[in-house]
Amino acid sequence: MFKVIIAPLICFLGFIIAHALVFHHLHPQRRFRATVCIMSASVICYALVFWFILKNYRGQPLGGIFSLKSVDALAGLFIYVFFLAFYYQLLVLFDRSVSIRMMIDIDRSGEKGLTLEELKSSYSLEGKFRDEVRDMLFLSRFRQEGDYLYNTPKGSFHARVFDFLRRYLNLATNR
Amino acid sequence: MSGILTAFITSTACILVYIAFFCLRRKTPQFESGVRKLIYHGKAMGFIWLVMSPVFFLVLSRFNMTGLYLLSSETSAADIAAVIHGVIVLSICFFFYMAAYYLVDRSVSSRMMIEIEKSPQKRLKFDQLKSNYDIDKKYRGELDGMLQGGFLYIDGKRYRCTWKGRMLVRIAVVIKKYLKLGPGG
Repeated sequence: MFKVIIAPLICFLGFIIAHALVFHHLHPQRRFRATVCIMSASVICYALVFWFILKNYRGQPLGGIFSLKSVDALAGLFIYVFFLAFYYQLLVLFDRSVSIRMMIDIDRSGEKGLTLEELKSSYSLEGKFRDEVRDMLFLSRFRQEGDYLYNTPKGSFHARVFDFLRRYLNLATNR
Repeated sequence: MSGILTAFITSTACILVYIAFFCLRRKTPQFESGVRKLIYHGKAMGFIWLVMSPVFFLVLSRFNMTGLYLLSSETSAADIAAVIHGVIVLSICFFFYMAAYYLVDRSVSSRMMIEIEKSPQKRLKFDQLKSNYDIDKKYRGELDGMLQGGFLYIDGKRYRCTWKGRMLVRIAVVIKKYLKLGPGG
């Protein structure tokens, strides 16, 4: 359990701390690339810790409470449920992503390509905003009184947490 | 190790069942909003994964008969199996972290909630929300991100897809078409 669950979780914790510190203090320009570099460093760190420190550690699976077969089945179930979450997230990404929708419109124009103005007329972000407002009303993040939109307590909490994270990680506030 | 292999095999079967279910449907379901559509898909996926769970245990028992689970014990391959499992756990954590990161960074609805929260009276009309958001900046931000990532290139004033962008578009179009997701965005 220590080798295959706790040690990777400790490395992951290291990754989160490194990611937050790098983004907060160093303001990387290529953010995705920076994240991939920190991720790769965490995997290398785990592999090194494993081979040089943990390789010869022989603990009882899950403290000896479960048999080897049960531990194996639990690990499999964990990954099985993860695949469900992964596949769903992928679907959300392809369905909701503004960038992918823009790329599809640009690709459909063929060799000609699209100017910003043409893109604006083929994919209206105003329509996207209206859909988002409708979704937020459905999810009880907004309430509407007359023409005005208000945050519900849930929406207000969501806004404060996201605003803090965007500021702390120096993410663009105009996305 | 048999648990990991079983999870891979059964999840692949679940994805195929899910795709077949949406491909074979004659009627495209209509939804009032994007979130309702995603909730519907989420429920359908959860149902398929649940129904397929007996298959998971069946495959697992077949693997166990071969003694593959002993790879997690003190055999010569135990360390390799353990390090693979550890890297899988790390990858899962990375995946969820990245999903949360992009939600914080890109979510349009979160930005709308922040705009309302920051307004003096904590309320905005749709038109005020739109002007605070600055649609032009949003378009440019998305396009700059795609240029930087090498998915688009700019020729004069025209944006065109690179080879990498076209590959991603092909995948997205196939997924949207077979799962009847609509244009999305």
